[in-house]
Amino acid sequence: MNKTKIKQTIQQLIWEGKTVGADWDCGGDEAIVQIHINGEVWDEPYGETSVSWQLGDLLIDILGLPSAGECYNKGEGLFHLNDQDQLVLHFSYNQYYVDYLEEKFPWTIKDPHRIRQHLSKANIDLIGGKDHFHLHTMIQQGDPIELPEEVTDAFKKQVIVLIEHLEEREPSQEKYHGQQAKGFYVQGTLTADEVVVFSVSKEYCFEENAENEQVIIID
Amino acid sequence: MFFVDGVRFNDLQTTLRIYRQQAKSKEEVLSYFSEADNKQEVARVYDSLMPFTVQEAILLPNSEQRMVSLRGFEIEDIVAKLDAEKIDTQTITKKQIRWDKQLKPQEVVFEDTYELFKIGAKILGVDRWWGQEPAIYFVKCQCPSTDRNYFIYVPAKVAKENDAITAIAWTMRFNGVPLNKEQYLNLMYTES
Repeated sequence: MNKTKIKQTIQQLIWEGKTVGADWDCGGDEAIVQIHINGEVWDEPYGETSVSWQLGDLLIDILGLPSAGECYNKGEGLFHLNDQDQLVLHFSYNQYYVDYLEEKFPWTIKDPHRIRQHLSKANIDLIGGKDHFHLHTMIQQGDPIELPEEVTDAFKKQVIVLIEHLEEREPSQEKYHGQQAKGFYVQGTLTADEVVVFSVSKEYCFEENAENEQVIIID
Repeated sequence: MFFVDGVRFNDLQTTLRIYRQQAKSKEEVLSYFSEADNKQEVARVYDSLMPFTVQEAILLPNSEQRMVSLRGFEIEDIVAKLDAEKIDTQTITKKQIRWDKQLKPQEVVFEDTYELFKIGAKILGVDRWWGQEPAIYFVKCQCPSTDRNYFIYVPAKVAKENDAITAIAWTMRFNGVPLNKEQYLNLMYTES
């Protein structure tokens, strides 16, 4: 990376009275950084000698922008030259990451359509959160089974009741790094027993905002 | 479509013959079927079907199907049904120190027998390979701790020495290099 060339290029643009800025939307397995000139995306072909791409990589390094995992950072800023002729970025960002804790939770699941009769030939899992539900059947032996929609609905209602119970219980639970769980995802396998031991995945979201921060990009 | 241990098969008869080989009762197999037509067919034919054979299992085109259908056989059955030819048998006397429940050491002398087998690949559905009739070789040994029999693959270049000890030596490594017969006989102190 040729930092001298990057600095000279940005310096020249600023001296010409142009506004040079950046915005980024990083996390969830990708890191996207765009450099702007007068509000327009600086659209250079990708290459090791491309100033905008190199400057983007530099921002990822210096700001520690995330790529993989459930950590996200969205932000924007403008480049300036300070009194010591350093290239600095004035920026704001919103960063958050998601963490999960697991617990086992027994819950009674009624079976009005008697689908437990299929357990000799299939594994039947109840998987869901508040916004989605999936009745997952994996046939182990014999022929396939078809479960009508009302069967799925009957289990979905019970899983939603479980999640509402977990939500109501949450204020009484110990906090995790000062946070209480914001989302609940459950997974349970039907057995002959009416009580299903669910794996409950509790989602915690940690957020950090910053305004008018400043960082030296190139000395 | 039909399933055996989670693996899909396309025809009912193969599925039922695999269950027959696994000695499942008709009542149990009936509990696997939900469609009325399938249940009726199972009830009608199950007891009259021939159990699936090793040769048929070996020739299934899908590796998961082969795995599931061979699961019901004892390894000795598979070896016998594939017309394995015994090339060499050697018994060696071994001395080892073993520890009893009070952790007292005692010398144990025992005999260990190794057998080298060959299977013509034709029976596995492979006719010719680079103009030759290929074969698969394996060595049989018994675990002294569990008394279980094991059949371990050995490559043709090792098996062609027609020596069961050379074959079992090859299955062991020192610094990633297979042992030879001399090393096995002189250096092996313990094994499992």
